[in-house]
Amino acid sequence: MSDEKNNLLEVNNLKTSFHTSDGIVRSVRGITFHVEREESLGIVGESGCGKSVTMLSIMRLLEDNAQLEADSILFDGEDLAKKTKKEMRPIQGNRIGMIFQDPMTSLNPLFTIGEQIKNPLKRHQNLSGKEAQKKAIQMLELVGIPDPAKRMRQYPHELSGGMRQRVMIAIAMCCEPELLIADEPTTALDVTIQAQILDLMKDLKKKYHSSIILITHDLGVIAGVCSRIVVMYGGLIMEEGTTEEIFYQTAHPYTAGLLASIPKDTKEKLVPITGTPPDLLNPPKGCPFAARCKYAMKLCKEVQPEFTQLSTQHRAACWLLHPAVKQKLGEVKIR
Amino acid sequence: MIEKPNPLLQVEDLRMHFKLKGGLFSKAKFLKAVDGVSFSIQKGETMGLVGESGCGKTTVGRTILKLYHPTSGKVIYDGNDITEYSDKEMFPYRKKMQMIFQDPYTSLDPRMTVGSIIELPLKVHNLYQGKDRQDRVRELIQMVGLKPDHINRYPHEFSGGQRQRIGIARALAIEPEFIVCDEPISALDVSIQAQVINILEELQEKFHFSYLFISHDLSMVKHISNKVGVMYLGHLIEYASVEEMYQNMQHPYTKSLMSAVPIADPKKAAANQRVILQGDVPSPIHPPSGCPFRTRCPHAKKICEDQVPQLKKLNDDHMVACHLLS
Amino acid sequence: MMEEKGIDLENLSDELLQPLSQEERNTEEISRESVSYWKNCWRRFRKDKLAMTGLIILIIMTLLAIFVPIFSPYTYDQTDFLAMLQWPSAKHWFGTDKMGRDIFVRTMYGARISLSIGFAAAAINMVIGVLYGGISGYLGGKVDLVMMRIVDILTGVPSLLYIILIMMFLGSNVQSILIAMCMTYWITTARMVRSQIFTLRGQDFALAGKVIGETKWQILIRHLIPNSMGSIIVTVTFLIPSAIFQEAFLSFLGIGIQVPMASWGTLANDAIEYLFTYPYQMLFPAAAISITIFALNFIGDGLRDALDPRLKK
Repeated sequence: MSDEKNNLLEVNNLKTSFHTSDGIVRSVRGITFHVEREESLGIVGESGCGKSVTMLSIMRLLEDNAQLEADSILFDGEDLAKKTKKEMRPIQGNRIGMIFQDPMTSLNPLFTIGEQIKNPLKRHQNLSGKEAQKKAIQMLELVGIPDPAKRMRQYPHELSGGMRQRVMIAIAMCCEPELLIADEPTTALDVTIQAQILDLMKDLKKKYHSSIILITHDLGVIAGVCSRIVVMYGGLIMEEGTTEEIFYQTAHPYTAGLLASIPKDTKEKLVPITGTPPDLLNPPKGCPFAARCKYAMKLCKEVQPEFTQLSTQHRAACWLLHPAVKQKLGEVKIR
Repeated sequence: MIEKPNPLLQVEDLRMHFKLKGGLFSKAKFLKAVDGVSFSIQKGETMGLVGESGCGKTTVGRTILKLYHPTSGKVIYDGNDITEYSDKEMFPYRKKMQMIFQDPYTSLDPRMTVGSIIELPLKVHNLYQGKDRQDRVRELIQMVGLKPDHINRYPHEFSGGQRQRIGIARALAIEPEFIVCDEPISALDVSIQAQVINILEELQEKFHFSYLFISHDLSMVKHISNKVGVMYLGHLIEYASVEEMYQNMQHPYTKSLMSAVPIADPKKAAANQRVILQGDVPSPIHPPSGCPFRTRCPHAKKICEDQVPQLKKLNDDHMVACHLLS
Repeated sequence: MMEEKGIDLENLSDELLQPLSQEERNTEEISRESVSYWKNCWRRFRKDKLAMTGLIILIIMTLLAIFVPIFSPYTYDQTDFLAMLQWPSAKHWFGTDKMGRDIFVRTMYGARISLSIGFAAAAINMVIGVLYGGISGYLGGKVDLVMMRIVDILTGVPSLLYIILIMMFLGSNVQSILIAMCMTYWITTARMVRSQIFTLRGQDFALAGKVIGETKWQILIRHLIPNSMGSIIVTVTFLIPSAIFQEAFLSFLGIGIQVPMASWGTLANDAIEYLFTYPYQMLFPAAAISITIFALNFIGDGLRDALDPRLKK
């Protein structure tokens, strides 16, 4: 494990469930990870794997039907899990910035761009109206919006998707947060715009010495931006490691399956992961991936595997890596 | 050869301009979604159509299926000019031309069971009767990897990938020859995308379908297509066989589009020389004069502003519309 | 190391290391039970206590309306000059009126008339509204323009004016009240259906219908109307109480149902002159109207919550 002092965020045994009319959906089922200062952590997984719920849990932005349990969510030494909604306010949007997938729904259509950037500046940084105006224009310029003074007076619907996402970034970064959580920030955008936005995020991270959690389903986006990756599936972490380890020393069959699903340069047939992700209304008792895993054994279906530490940074939860199983079966090559 | 004789589908100079409501005193405006697109598809061939949102690729697909009535140009299917066909005249062609939709959540009627969704095309075209029809529905649902006992369930009970496969089963039911795949995988998870692509490929091998594969995912298009067209702002700007396109791309837009694709390999991603385009795609209501790409093109010259570049042959397998290349 | 969940990691049995069979994987399994839209709605509706109370009250009221006049020793128009203006008693539960008619039977007979008018008006208006709105919304363009202008003109005419005219020409009876109400009541439904169809026809499943070769009518009837049924039912449920109220209002003014026939409005009208001396005569029909309208409104609210997918979790 890395140096504890250098960790900006430490999430310990986070569990989040939702009470719905069908029953209790266990979206996140006990995950532990950390974010170091000034690093970019990628959380990758398919829809419904719990990656967005994890972020909302950390920010304490869950809806009323959600139930959060965690040993601790330490942000710079403070336990966010124990804070009240009111105590969270100086952190949300100030020390932790957020960018969501759809910039249209996360911007308020009734206020101008300017008002929406000035708002957090006034609230968190106690800037006067004039100072906030100046800073807001600076921020818009910084995120590459041409003619910022004019844009300040416009409404969200007058901007293109890419521009809106830039405004979202300006709002998220205006208070110079220590941590920026970006939930699928480029999924709704075109590739050429996506490239612009990802570059912008990298630049701003460097400028403000922030950490980034980038949540995405796109391994390509993560490969270009993040230094460390957490792979989630069925509400649990499957594998965690540096980007190189995840891509080149893949240990978990799920990660390997994801990588194999992406078309290579050849016309070779794709190797999909068969089947469908588990329904977290009735989560499987064993490994959540067992039903789709080509290496799955009876053991996998019965007991959830623990993590095996593979290097200082690299760990994976798979029975094939467990010493007791290895002893019997030997090394199983995962591809 | 990129254009061969006797294609199954031929699109000639297709234009689709949508009329926007003009004010009382202002002239009605037009959204030029598709502005002069020509290409052809052979039997058993897959043509990929790529471009960013708003470039008109979806409109091309829908206009070919006569969901919209084109402003001008021709759609020729199997030698018959179907452009001016009425709904009634189109009916026999509905059996031959099908579509797979982008969003598996909205393309299936939520009030119908999966069985009746797949059965509907058979009912409309009066194919198979009684028990045969039920058997056919079961056969179709198994063909796309689902179970026959799923037929009494409703679409919302399935995952995105499963729903997309139901959509495929519906399109297959009447044994079409040509299928427009309108971004069939963009709403799906990575591991599921490969499943759907494999099903499409297997079915093509088995039934020799022709596909028009519309997508913004350049790597999937490369994987599945025989030839590729790149669209920008309603224009087809580059059109080539897949090998030619990905080895020898010429148009500055294609180049930057390709370089912007994120690579799922950290080493290659670090080595990738990206051409990051400035600015946004202009509005199709007020397209720029001349070349549609000139406002973002790093090499734009005076001629690009004055004249619309035509799609010209570079070699037998490659056509491109750029003043700077001719 | 991990806790031993009944599994000895030191001595793993070979059986546990067997690969999973195809059946054990069962990857396309759907664990949730299959629920149709309507079943799901009923499930949500059942959880709404207020709406369920409303439904029970409405059922009781309907049963009373059907059976009381059949089994009661009195009929609604039977006068008894020996028992005029009696206060409620064991013999006459709700008392009697100035002609000695039993108010309990008359109230329940009134329920028959009022409820039938309410449901019949709602049903007729639903049919007209769905057809009109559906056609207008689906065809769109010029047809829609003309059809909607006609609606605008109809709403422009004050309804009381032609209702009174119709009642005068056709006489004061149930049929003419229904006809009068059907003149404009469907407009709300029609407008609602039109806007629903407008949004639905652009959806992919409607396009999919066109791709497989369905005609416009088939798409309208197979896909668009069934998908707007939830909102239609909610709108129509709210039409019932307003129709009941309208009938009561007309009868109260004296241009609706005529004595000795009884509706809640006529009963209330009858009771005005004794409002201070025999207030029970007003109390019972008024209470019946209020309770029924409350019940129907609760049901409507409950239905809206149950049928509206936007509130679905």
